[in-house]
Amino acid sequence: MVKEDNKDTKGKTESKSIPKSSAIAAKADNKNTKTVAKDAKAAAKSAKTAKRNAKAAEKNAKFAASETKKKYDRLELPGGEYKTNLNKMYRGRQKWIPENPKHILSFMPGTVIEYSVSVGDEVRAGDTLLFFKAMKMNNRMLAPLDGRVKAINIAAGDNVAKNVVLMELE
Amino acid sequence: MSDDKKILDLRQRMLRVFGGGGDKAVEKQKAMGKLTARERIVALLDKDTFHEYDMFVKHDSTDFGMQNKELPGDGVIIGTGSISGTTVAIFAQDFTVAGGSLGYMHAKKITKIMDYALNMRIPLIGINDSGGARIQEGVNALAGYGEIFFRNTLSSGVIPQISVILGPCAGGAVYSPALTDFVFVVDKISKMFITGPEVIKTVLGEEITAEELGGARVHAETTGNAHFFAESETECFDQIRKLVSLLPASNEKPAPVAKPANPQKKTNITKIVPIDPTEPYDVRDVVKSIADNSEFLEVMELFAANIVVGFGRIDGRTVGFVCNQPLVLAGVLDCDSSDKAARFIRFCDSFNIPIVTLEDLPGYLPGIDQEHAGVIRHGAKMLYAYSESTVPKVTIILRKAYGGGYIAMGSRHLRSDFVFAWPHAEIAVMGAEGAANIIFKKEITEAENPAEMRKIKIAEYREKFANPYVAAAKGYVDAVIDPEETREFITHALKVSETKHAGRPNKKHGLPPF
Repeated sequence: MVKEDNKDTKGKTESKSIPKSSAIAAKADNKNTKTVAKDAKAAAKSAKTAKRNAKAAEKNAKFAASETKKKYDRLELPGGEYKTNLNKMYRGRQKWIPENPKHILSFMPGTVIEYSVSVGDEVRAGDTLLFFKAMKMNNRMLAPLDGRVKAINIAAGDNVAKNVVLMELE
Repeated sequence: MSDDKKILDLRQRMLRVFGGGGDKAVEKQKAMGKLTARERIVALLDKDTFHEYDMFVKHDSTDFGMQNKELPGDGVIIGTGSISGTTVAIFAQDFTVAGGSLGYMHAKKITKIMDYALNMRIPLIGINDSGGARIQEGVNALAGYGEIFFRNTLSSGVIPQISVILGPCAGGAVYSPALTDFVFVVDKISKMFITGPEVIKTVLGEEITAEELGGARVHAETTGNAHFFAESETECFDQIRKLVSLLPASNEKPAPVAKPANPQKKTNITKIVPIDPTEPYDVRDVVKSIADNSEFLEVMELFAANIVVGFGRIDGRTVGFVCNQPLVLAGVLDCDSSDKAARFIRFCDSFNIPIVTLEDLPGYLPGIDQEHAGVIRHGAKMLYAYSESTVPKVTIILRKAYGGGYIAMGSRHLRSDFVFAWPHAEIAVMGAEGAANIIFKKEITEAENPAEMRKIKIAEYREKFANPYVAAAKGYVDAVIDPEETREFITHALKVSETKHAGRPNKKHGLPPF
């Protein structure tokens, strides 16, 4: 039974242990009656085990403390909030910004060859705005809508990365 | 016989080839912290088993002064040998010879050993360490790459193909490893990219080092191109040897069987998994408490760590584990984890390796970025892989199995042969909170104290549906088991399915959502 006790304290500090099947429990009971019968020896033994129990409890407390110290991130999901670690991808995710149709973006990394319009010009949808060299091709970029050229952000001849605002319409 | 002139001549010729690109080039290679191609082969294969072919191959290029250049072995070593008794075919590019550049004869040697591997039905290992195409040989070099890619595809699913990146692997060259089953990289030595830092600088004006652009860590963590990451070449060879010992030589042969061994009784399975479904734990500890000797060879450890895949043995036989990892992102499925699992499942299916699934996930990761990145398309790969596979499949539901995640993770409906659940399993269409909010919307909003009512209804839902018995009542779960009996149930299930015979309709090939 002493042994059983020891296990129980461990079980409590960890998490609720799964109930043992009745067969195992009966076996443990059997052992228990035997140990009680040999009371003199058992007394000496129980003193020893009490010491051992105290040590185990101390160890468990230490373990529990280290467990609570372990810091996890929190992740809110439809099913509830989970303790877990976030990964690089998740941490690095950026807020989504809806695309502005008035911004003319570089659709690939490349070079502005020349602008066909200048700031203040009225443009109609389908008009050529600029020539953009990307991947060995000279691409003609067209106005997506009717409007006026508000600003030109990149000088002709400059290299740009993908998704850079080359020009703004209004 | 040693004074036989012909034999002396042969020895001299061999010595010249063994010297590679000469002492200076070898010194340079060593300075980079790299072994030579020949040293690598010796380190990787069983002692004295390597047999080399095409040692005296010569290039026939005459342009740009190439006619005067002698390139020992044309910059690549090919041959056969064995790893832990398994016969393998191997090629190793020699960076000391013209930077390991790939010319026509160099490619011919590689394709020759690839043909051997396929015809003999033995695994192929390719050690890549090359500056790229030998520009002097023009389109012949490109033709060489194409021939290699074609053979990679031909061999795919017939023999295991392993690529080891031990140096630069740039431009077209990267696609041969990408077509193979497992890519090994070593920190600070491996570099893979389509366009290098110089090109990026001239085109974009952006500066980045080769290491930051396509170093080992990048491919192991971010891109998912690499399957195994090692700190040193020696560690890398150990990983390869371990992997080869677990794999069959071809899709027609069974994997080597080891002596059955119990898991080391260091951990108690019920103590690993907390009962509270929102508490994390490392699912690899569960795998280790199930697998023989507690040994687990994890594949793609650093990429999409919210799912864990890898090989272990049960009762001596190789199995593939696919497990949700509550320790990372609560174990959700997302684009990357679906890709990772789908590819692994297909590998196992191709090579007749049974799949054991350990399931504990709250569902799919919500988010605009996920939806726009195509989580539908990527997630579908996993459903496809599980449905398509005909190898024995055993699924254990440890805790949570919600919604689409329940279906995706090797459910009965995708033809798992055995589905077992732990008593704490929650198998339902969605989590109790979400479900209660929808089903009892009226009761909750009309109540005097809606917050109180919500709590009551959540508890009511959890009591009724968040358990394994609703699924068990329909036979979707074959047995609700004591967690301590997990290994025993898996072992028995695998024994029962050893003679499994499951067919799928004949077709040229299926159309997984690539």
